[in-house]
This record gives sequence, C-alpha cells and structure tokens, in this order.
Amino acid sequence: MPIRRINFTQRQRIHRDDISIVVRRDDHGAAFFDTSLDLSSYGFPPDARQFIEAYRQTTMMRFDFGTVSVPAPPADRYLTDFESEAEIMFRVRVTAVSERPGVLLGEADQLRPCNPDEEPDQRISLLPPVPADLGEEIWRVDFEAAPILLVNRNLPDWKQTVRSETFRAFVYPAAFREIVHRILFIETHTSTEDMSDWRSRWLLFTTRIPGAGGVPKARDEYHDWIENAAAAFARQFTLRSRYVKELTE
Amino acid sequence: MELKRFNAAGLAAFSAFLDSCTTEAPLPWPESALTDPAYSEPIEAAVTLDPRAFATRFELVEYLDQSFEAAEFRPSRTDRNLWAWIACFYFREICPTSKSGAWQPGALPRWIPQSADWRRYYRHLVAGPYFIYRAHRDEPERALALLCQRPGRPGDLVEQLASRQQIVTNPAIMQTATNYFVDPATGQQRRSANSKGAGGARRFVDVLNQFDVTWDLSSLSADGLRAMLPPEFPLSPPSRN
Repeated sequence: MPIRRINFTQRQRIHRDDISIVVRRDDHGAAFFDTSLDLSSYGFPPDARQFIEAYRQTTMMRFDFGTVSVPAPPADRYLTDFESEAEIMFRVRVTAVSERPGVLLGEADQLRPCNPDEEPDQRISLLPPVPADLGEEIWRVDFEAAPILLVNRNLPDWKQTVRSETFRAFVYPAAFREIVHRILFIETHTSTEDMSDWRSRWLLFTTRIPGAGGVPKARDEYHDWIENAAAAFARQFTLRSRYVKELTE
Repeated sequence: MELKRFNAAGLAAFSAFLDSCTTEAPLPWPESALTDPAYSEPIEAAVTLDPRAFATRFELVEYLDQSFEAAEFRPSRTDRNLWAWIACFYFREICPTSKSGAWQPGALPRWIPQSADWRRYYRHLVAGPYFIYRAHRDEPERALALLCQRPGRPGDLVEQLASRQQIVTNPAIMQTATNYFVDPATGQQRRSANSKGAGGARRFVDVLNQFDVTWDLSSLSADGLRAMLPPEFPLSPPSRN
C-alpha cells in the first residue's frame, strides 16, 4: 500500500507572488538568472537557509542564497549545466539549521521563470504552448509541472498553427478535458483555495466558466461535470463559430 | 562506423522497422539507413563507434561517453535523430528477443527519444542511461542502481527511480539506492529490488516521497539518508542476490 504523504512538520508553501525569477543572457549569450524573494511574512527562523534549485529531467543545479535574515545571492548564477534555458524550472527551499538541521520549512516548486521584458502579472498562462519533438503527433499535454501544451516543432509554422481557430477548436476542448480529468481522477485534487497550486488554478478557472458550476463533491459526478464544463468552455470561447468563420473566409 | 544522425527519412525508416516488429511480417533491420546519405547525415564531430556487445547499461554508456569525449563531442539530449541513429546502430546488440528469436523492441520511446516528454524521456535505451551517467559524471558508479541492468531490459527499478527527477539527480539518494539494490559482489541488481512489498524499489520511493515532505533531501548525505530509513532497509543489506 502506498504511503500517504503527511506534512508532520507544518512545512509552509511559499506563494508564487513572493518569488520572481528571471532568466537573462549575458553579452556572450550565456544564460543566468536573477531572483527576488520576499519571505518576510512566513516567520522562518532568521538563520534558516534558502536555496534555489534549477532543474530539468536529469539536470539539476542548486544555488545557496544565504539565510533568511541575511540573503546572499551567489555571484555565479549561470545555468551552465543546461543545454538551453528553455523549459528549465525552479524550486525555492527554506531549510532549518539550528533546531532540526535539514528539516524543510518552506517550499515553492515547479516555478517557471518569466522573461526579462515580461510584466509579472502577465506571466501566468494556464496552458502555454511549447515547441517539442513529437514525431507524427501534432500536440500533447505535458504534466511535468503545471501543464503545458507541447506542439510539434516540425510543423511549417507551429506558432501560426497554435493561433489558428481550427487548432483551437480541435485541440483546446480535448486538452481541457484531459487536464481536468487528471486533476480530479488521478491527482484526486478538488480544492480551489491554493493559488500557488496549478491544480487549484485550473479548477478555479473551470468553475468560473459560465455554465460550468462548482466542483462536485461526489466522485461519480466528476465525469458529467467535466463534460459539461468542456461544452461550456467551447461556448464561452465560441470555438465552433470561429472555426466556421475561419473556414469560410 | 562513423557516428551520424538520421534525417527525417531515416527516422521514418527506423520507426517503420520498429512498428513492423509487432506484425507477422517484420521488416529487415534498416542497416543501410545508417550510412545512406538519403537517410543519415554527418554530425559536427568525428566520432567512431564499434559494433560490440554490452553486458550492462553502464558498459554501454561508459563506452559512448569515452567515445564522445575523445572527439570532444557533446550530444544534445534533444537531438532525437542522433539518439535514434545510435539506438538503431546497436539494435541487434541490445534488443530483447523472444524464444523463437523474434525481435521484441517494445514501445517506440525506447528507441526514438521522446525528449520533451518527462514521462518517457528516460525510457530511451541509450539516451536514458547516458544522461543518468552524465548527471553523476563525478562518480558514475553511484548510479549503478539504474545502470547495472542489461541494456535492453532496464526493468522496474529503473522505472521507479528514473521517472522521478528529484531522485535521479540526487547523489545521496542514488548512492543509497545502489547500496541497497546492487550486490557489490556480482554488480547485479538484487532480486529484492523488484519486490512490491517491504524493502523493494516501490517502497523505497514511497519512503522518499514522505521524507521529501519533511526534509531537504538535497542537503542530506548518503550516510544521513541511510540512517533515516525504516528497518525494512537495514544498514547491512542481505548479501544474497
């Protein structure tokens, strides 16, 4: 029987709003990152250490950012172990030093960096499209962190494809179903409270679609709710009408 | 043979061959696609690979790493045409067969990488172990838990550990997994690793998942982690395989 994960030590979830990570390139084209952390409201011990980890598949780099009371970003924040900065994700960890060394006091995971020129409040996209090698498949939802929409990079113009009404009409309702199905049936997540959790953000988005309604309490109602929400999603964005219009223009 | 990468036609030919292996009329191994300019193209470096057998994943990727290093070649993990070419080149050496001798290649991502898919990237029989080896290049033997298997049969231990980013990149965890699941006398995986009960790989992952809620696993040493594990993972693993 799998072990149920229990948060014995009351580890805190660090909110995304308190973290900003930006990946930049220097004059030689080498990628590094800048960050700002505001951990003042969490009550962490002053000597707790803060770390930032950059990771992607089998590559991980860990950076020591000093203590909560005396932050000391390392001078070398180059992402040298990564082939490219695309699809790198970050996690922030705060760990105890004095009482129980190594205990995790706070964490934020699956953080995607924002672009240097991007306004912070514009960086949250529920399903950002990302080019990828997908063989003969056109698209696929990736769940390594918050879901992203992988689109075959070997299309004549993948960005244009994603923008087309045909693509939107055919892909987005299916992707929507897959994501909400995963949240409810596989992740068994039903909360809309924690906005630092992608699953909550997706469920909140879904409940706000006109005609979708709230997340049902009973598991045997999930399927119908997802189907109803997918139909409401299509209505909200007038997918059929836009598709027909594109066809006839 | 000089290392190349497939072009689109080469990738399609290899893919068609793999698909045909599940039919009653399998195509012949596409050997000519490895050299025919219509199917393969040169790479930026001069890397030579010899056809040879490999007893373990470790042997395979150690050989590849040495070959790449000698040519100062750094393969990209996203170069699926390159990794597919290498997998095709060593296909006859690493592909499992049935009792009747028929190829049993398994799913396509074992041969043609799905590098963008976190659920399947590590399943490639060449790129998967290679990047695990590279992630522990300061001491690759610590990752033997994921590299001691036959190249064509990685098994459940690899599936359980390699599919989890925080496990496969953590030196302390990988050293601990190797201590528990690899018999130092034979270099082979212990049978206990495949157990779905106490002391098996799945329990090991479950325990680590619980630890991950409480501890900053990146700050632990192998000895520190070992001391924290429950009794089903004894300090001295059983000596029998």
